[in-house]
Amino acid sequence: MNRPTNEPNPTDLVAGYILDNLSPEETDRLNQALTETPTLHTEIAALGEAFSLLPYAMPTLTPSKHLKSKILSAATQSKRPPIDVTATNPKPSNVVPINSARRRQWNQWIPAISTGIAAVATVALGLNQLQLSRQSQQTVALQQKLDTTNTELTRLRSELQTSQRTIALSTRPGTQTYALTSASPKNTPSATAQIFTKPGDRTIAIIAQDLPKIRDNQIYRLWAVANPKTSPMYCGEFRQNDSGTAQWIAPNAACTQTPSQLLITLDAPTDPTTSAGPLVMKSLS
Amino acid sequence: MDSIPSPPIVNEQSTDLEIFLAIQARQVKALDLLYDRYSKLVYSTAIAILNNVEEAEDVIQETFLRLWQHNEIYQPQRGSLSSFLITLTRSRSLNRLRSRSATQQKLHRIQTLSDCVSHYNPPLEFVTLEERSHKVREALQQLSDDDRQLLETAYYTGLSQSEIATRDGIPLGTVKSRARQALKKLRTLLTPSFSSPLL
Repeated sequence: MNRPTNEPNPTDLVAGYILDNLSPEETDRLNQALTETPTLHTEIAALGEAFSLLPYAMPTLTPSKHLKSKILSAATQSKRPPIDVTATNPKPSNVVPINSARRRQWNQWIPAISTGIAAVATVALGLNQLQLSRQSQQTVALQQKLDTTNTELTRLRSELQTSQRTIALSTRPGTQTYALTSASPKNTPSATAQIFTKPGDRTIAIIAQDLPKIRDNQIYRLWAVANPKTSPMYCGEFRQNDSGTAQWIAPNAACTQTPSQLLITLDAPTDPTTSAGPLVMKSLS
Repeated sequence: MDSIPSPPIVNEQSTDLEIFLAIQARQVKALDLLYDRYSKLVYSTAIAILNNVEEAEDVIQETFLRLWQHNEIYQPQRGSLSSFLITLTRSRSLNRLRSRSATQQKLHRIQTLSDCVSHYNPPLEFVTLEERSHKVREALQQLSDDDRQLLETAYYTGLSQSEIATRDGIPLGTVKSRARQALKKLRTLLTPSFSSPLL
């Protein structure tokens, strides 16, 4: 028999914990239950495992080829043993030590020689430090330039790969293409987009031109109209990258089942999906 | 003199546990195999959450290198390696998603509480990835569309249950209890022999 909803049983509390939806009172109750019933810890593992398996249901995407070599290269670098600190310590030597009688002859000169050596060493060190400081400043500047160039290269390579993937998606047999134009010619006269879908596959790809960049608290949403008599159906949200492409998985398989029209709206990520924000682009119906 | 145990030799047929032990032994080959086995899955997870290729690839790199550099963060007796990788990927992806909108990060708890688990045998640990995909799809199909979408929204969007309630126009209590029941049902479906004494 089900318990009243205001008194969730321990497994409900564990499920709430995994889903991150416990109230503070429920958290206290779960802590208490965990103390009384240690086997509940296994419930946490089991429900957590079930929740973590959700991605297995998605169509899988392949990361770019260079990512693997980047990861393995970083792993190989970090595999190297730390620098052997003992290398800087004196190593055992085969040189015969100076005998004590001879060493005594030099004893009287030791303070003066030491002072001289110290003075020369101080000047040399000062010069070295000055040179090292200049060199290190140049190195830092060069390193910064190199980092910036590498970041830009990575971004460009990644964008190229995204575009290649989107193009690959668009050329699959059975792919349907929708051309979208601006719904607000006054604000975004030159914005155009192409959306690629394939019935039976929930992956959606877009290539957009002149679609305005959005702020962090905004998102573009795609809506599919199955036929002119039905209301638009929510089909996921996206932000395009710098080259105007994006890919995502539709929340509903019907989104890619040959809709009669596609619409793009501008929304906040927390806006209800039961209603849409301002219309930005639309395909011909 | 004690002989030093030789590190395990791994190949495509090795189990996740054998691969993990080889990672502990600092074998780059093991990381290579683990990447081949799970990179698509974790990448798809990151893409589904972030909708951004660059960020998703950053997350994948962080995930695999974190396991490589701090292999003590995974403890085999507390769950499967694939589940660990997916959970770490999801957590990092959601953190990025939340930092985009400057909301607080909340998902650091699973590892902490599950530290108390003495030993847990994941239900799909010893089946192929294809079989896992098939079983999970089959299980999800047995949930109602609304329940499945609710779980997927909770998993991939990073929205809190109250945000989902507002977004979908459903009372918060209903969202919470439906999501919990759906998760419990999913767990039961994925573990056919399971019947909880606590239900």
